[in-house]
Amino acid sequence: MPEGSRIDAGRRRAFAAKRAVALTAVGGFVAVLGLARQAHPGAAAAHRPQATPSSGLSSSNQEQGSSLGGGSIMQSPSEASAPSVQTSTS
Amino acid sequence: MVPVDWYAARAAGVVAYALLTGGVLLGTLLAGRARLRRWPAFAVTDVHRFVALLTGGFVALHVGTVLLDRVVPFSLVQVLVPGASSYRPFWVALGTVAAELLVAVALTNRFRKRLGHRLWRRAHYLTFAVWLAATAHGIGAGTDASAPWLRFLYVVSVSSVAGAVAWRGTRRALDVSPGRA
Repeated sequence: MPEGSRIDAGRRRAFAAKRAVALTAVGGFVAVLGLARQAHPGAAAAHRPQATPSSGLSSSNQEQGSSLGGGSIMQSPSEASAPSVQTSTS
Repeated sequence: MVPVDWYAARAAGVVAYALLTGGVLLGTLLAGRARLRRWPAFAVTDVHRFVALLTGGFVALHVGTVLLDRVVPFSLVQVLVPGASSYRPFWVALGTVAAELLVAVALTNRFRKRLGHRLWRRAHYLTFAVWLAATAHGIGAGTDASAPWLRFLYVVSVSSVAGAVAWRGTRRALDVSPGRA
């Protein structure tokens, strides 16, 4: 292979590799952002079934000083705007 | 609601670490004069520089989002002065030292011609210290350090860099052995 075309081929490969690295970095950033968000306890609480008494405490429970409050768990905006009603009969 | 900058700080830190590992691996390949088919040294050097620049960009994003974050608030002094942080001071200090050493290495690259090859090369070895400090910082200060995907990243990074350094050491030993002279 002539010297010029070898250099051109090297340049093309380097350009393609740099583009791949940049795209992978941005894609990785978005993916890790999602993983980090999923791993956060607030997100876990948002995906928990409604039967779990995480946010929908009845007033009687609060009056009795129940320890099931989970006060440190953050509510998602959707949870906060739509209060859940507990209908458990157990 | 948890602010996005907290997630962005963590994500930028992880990506910066992965890129730093890639840069260290490429640099070790170059220093060992690895002959890759279809990959001339200038092309590998070009990619190595680009990876290093991208690493710097994501480190800047990591530091910037850490400063904006309100979940674990940091002041500018806490970010710049090692040990000034109230959150996991030792591990955060390692991150500060790593970032500042990275800036120092970048400056030696900028003034490479003035420094001379020998001094530049010695200063460039600091990148290994940057990588070690960044690894310890990620494991010790990272909120996600116990997550399986991040453990996998650390295992792959540490084993690949250890392998590359061992390969480089072997090549150097072969280069200086009397049989090769």
